[in-house]
Amino acid sequence: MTEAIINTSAIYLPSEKIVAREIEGELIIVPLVSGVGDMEDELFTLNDTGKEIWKRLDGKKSLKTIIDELVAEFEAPKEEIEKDVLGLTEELLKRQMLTIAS
Amino acid sequence: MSTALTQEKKEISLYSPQLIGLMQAVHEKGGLFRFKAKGGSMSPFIKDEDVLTIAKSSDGYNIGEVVAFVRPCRQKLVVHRIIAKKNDQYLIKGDNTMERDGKIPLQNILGKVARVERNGKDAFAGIGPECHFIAWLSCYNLFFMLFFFPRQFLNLIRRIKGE
Repeated sequence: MTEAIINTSAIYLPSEKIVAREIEGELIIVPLVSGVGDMEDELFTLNDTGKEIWKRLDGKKSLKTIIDELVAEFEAPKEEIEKDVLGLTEELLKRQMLTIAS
Repeated sequence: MSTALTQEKKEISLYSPQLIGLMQAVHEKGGLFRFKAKGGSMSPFIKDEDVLTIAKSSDGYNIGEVVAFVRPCRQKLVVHRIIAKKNDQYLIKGDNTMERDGKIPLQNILGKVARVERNGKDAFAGIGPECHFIAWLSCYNLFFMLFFFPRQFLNLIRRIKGE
């Protein structure tokens, strides 16, 4: 389902409506909901795998390139990495934390 | 590998420079910053665990306003009240403390408290027109004494009663 709606040749970048910072080893994403950056009720964190994907979602690399990079860097099956990248991309798009660059 | 985007409640130290960076980044995007306060130096107006909304002001700050600022010596985020100002220097102090924070330059002030929530409801925060009077009381430590001595007296009575 996920693979069907997200094109791996697409390039994504973080939305203008979020602020992301690495704090104490965790990547924290605070969306601006109705103009408020809410640390209390609207705070998201990414685990280590998510961080590796997030830092590559820079508006320059396609999802395919990101998957290839992660396959080369980590000892995990390509199918698993692809599932993670597409799953996270879908989740971030659903929450309007990513926008399409091209 | 497995990814997880998790929505969670997270306590971030007020000493964390990244928290300050996060607030500045939200303000740069024209947003308000909402976070949980720690400590009792602004009690009874702001209590431990109250949720504060901080707004950036583009034209400086006024006496009586409660502001979030970075204490220069320790790089800690503090929320206290302006009791005096001269040019771009602000004299700031907690309502429930005797000590002043010293002269704080404008560039260290991140924004002012626009809203205080306690237990999910708006709380009276002394940030309306009454803020000038509170700043005056605070300036002469009258506010602290007004609350400190009756509280100590009540604690003493409780101890005598063995409560």
